[in-house]
Amino acid sequence: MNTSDSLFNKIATAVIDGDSALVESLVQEALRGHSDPLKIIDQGLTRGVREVGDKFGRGESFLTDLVMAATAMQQGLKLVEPEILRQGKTAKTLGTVVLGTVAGDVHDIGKNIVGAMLRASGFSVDDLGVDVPTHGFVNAIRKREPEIIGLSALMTVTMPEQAKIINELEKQKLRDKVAVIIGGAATSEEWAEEIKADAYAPDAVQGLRKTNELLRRRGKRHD
Amino acid sequence: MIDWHKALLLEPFSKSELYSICSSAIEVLETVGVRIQDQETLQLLRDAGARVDPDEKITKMPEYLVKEALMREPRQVNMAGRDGTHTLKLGSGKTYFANQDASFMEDRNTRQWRASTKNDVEKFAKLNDALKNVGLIVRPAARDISSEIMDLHEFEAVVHNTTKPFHLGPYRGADSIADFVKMASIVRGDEKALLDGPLFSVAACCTSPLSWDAWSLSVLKECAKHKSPVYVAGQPTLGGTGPVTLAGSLVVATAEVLSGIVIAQLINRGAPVMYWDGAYPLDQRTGVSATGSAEHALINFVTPQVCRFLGIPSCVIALTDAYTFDAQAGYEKAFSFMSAILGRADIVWGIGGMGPCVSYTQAVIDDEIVEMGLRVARGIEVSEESLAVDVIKSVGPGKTFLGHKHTKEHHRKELVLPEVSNRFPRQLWESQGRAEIGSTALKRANELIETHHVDPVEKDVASQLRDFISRREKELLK
Repeated sequence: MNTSDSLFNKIATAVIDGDSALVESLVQEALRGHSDPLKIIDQGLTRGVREVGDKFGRGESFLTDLVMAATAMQQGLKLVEPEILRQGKTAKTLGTVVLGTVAGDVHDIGKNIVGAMLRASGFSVDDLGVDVPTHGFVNAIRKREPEIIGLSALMTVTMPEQAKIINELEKQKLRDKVAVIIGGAATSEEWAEEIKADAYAPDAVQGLRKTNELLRRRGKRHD
Repeated sequence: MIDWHKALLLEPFSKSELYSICSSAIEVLETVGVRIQDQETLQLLRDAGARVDPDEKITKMPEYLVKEALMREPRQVNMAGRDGTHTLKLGSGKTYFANQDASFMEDRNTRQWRASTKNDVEKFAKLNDALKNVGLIVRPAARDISSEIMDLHEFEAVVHNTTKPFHLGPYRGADSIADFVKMASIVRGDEKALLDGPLFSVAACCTSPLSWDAWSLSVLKECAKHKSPVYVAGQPTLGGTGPVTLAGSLVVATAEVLSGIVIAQLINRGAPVMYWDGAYPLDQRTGVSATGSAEHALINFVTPQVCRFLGIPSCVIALTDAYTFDAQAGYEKAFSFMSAILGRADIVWGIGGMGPCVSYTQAVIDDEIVEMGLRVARGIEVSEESLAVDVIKSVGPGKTFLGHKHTKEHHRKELVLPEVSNRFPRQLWESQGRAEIGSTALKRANELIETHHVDPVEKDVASQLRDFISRREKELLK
C-alpha cells in the first residue's frame, strides 16, 4: 500500500466516524501531496459514506451516523471540487437531485435524512432548504438540470404547494426534463397520482429506491 | 365516578429538578431565542423589550417577559359544548380526553387506510359523542372538500354531530379563526356568550427547534385576539429536532410553549393557551417519530407536573406506532394513557389515533383503555365498609360472597365492566367465532354510529350557519 492509498483509507475512516475536522485536514494533506482529486472522492469520501450507508441498510448503524458521515463528506467535497474544476475534470455521480421543503413549510428533518441517504449512495444533492417558493425550484432546475426533484410537505395546508410546483413546471415546459418525487407526513400514493408526481416516497429508504427506479426508467427512455 | 382529589397522582420530578427544567427553558429563550417568521410579531416583541435580530429573525426574550406572560396566562381554560351540558375545565385538577388530529382514516368497510372525508368527520364526531370518556372531539380532515373551504365544512360536519366542544383545523390561518368565531357565535348567540363558554379550540405549532412560521403565528395571534383557546405545541423529536435526552427535549418544548405564551399575552392579556407536548424519540433506524415509546410515556408523566409548576393547562398525547389492532397497539396505548392519567394531564389526546391515522375501531378500544386507566387512578378505598370485616365474619370460611348484599351493593362501583374486552369463558369464545378485539370494537363502533342520538342544532341556528357558509364559499371560491 502506498502513502496516498493509506491517506484515502484514513479519509474514508474519518468520514465513517463523522469527524468533519479530521476529514478537512486529511483532504488538505492529500491535495498538498497532489493526489488525484477524483480518487480522493472515490476512494476516500464516497467510499466512507457508502460504507455507512450499507451498514445503515443492514441495521448496523444509525441515522445519526449517516447524517454525520454525509456532513463530513460534504466538508471534504467543498475542498476537492475547486481542484477538480481547475484540472478540467468532472466528478462522477449517479445523478443530480434537487431537494426542498415547499413554501409555507419549515419542516426539514425528513428531507435532510433523504438528502443524507442519497449522498451516501453517490448522488449529487442540491438541498434548497425549507419554505422554498415555486420559482426557487424552477430556477434550480434550470441551473442544475437535475434528473430528479424531491418536494417535501409535512402539513395538510402546504400539500397543495406540491401541485402548484408541478403545474408551474408544465407551464414552463420543464416537466419532461425532470422526474418529481413527493414525500412528507401529509402526503400519500393517492395524492402523488392526483397531482401527477412521478413517485411517492413514504420514507428515506423508499426515497432512495424510488430515485434509483426513476433513473433507470429515464435511462431506458433515453436509450 | 372518580374523585380527582383522592385519585392517584405520580410526580416523578423533585422540586429542584422541576426548577432546573424551567429555568433552563428560560435561559434558552433569553440566550438562544426563537426564530419568528413574521415582521409584525417581531415588532411586537421588540416593543415589549425583547432583543431582535431582524436579519436572522431571531428574538431573544428576557426572563421578565416570560414571567409577566405567565402572570397573565389563565391557570384554567374552560370550554363547553353547544347545549352547555358537556364542559371542560382544563387546569382544574381533573383529566379529560380527546381524539387525535389526522388526515388518514381507517375505512369501516375495507379496513384499509385512506384519506379522510367530510362523511368521516360526521361519523367520527357522532361516534365520539357517544363514547363516554371523550370530552373534546377532534375532527379528521375533510379531504374531499376543496382546501379553501375545508375548514368551514369541518365546522359544519362536527357541530351537527356532537354536543361536546370540538377542535378544528385553521387551514387559512387567521381567516379560519375569524370565521370559526363567527360560526361559533351564531351557535352561542353572540361572541360574548362564546367567551363565557368557548365551543372550539385550535392548535398553533412551534416548529422544533425554536422556530415559528408565519401561518402558525397568524393562528396564535388571532386566537389571542378573540381569547379563543389555543394549544401551543412544543414537539421536538429526541435526537432530531431536539436533544436526544428527555430532559433536554423538555427544555426545548417548554421554551417553545413559553415563547407562544409570551406572544399570546402581548396580543391580549388573559388569552387562554394550553401546553401541548408532542416530544417523541426519533427512531434511529427508520426516522419515524416513536409515538408509542416508553420515553413518550415518561413525557406524559412529567409534562403535567411541569405545567402545574408553571400554572399552564397541560395536554399530552397517547398514541401507538402500530397500524393495526394488535398487541403492540394495546400495550403502547395502555402505557401512554396510563402515564398521562397518573401524571394527571389536564387533557389527553389520542382517542382513536394510530400514528398519523385515526380509526373508529381504535376509538372504541381507547375509550375502554381510558375507562380501565381511570379505575387504576381511582385507587383503593379503605374504610370500614370496604374492609368488610363484618361481611367476612357473616360469610365465614368456605362459603361464597356471591349471594351477599355487600357484593350486590358494591360490585358495580368497585369493579369496571369492560364493554369490548373479551371476558367470555374459552369454550364460549371459541364457539362464538373467536372474535378478536378489532372486530368486536368495530362492531360496537358501527352500532353506536347507527343508533346514537345527537340532539339536532336548533332550526334557525342551523339555517344561519348554512347561510354563513354559503356566503363565505362564494367569496372564497371566487
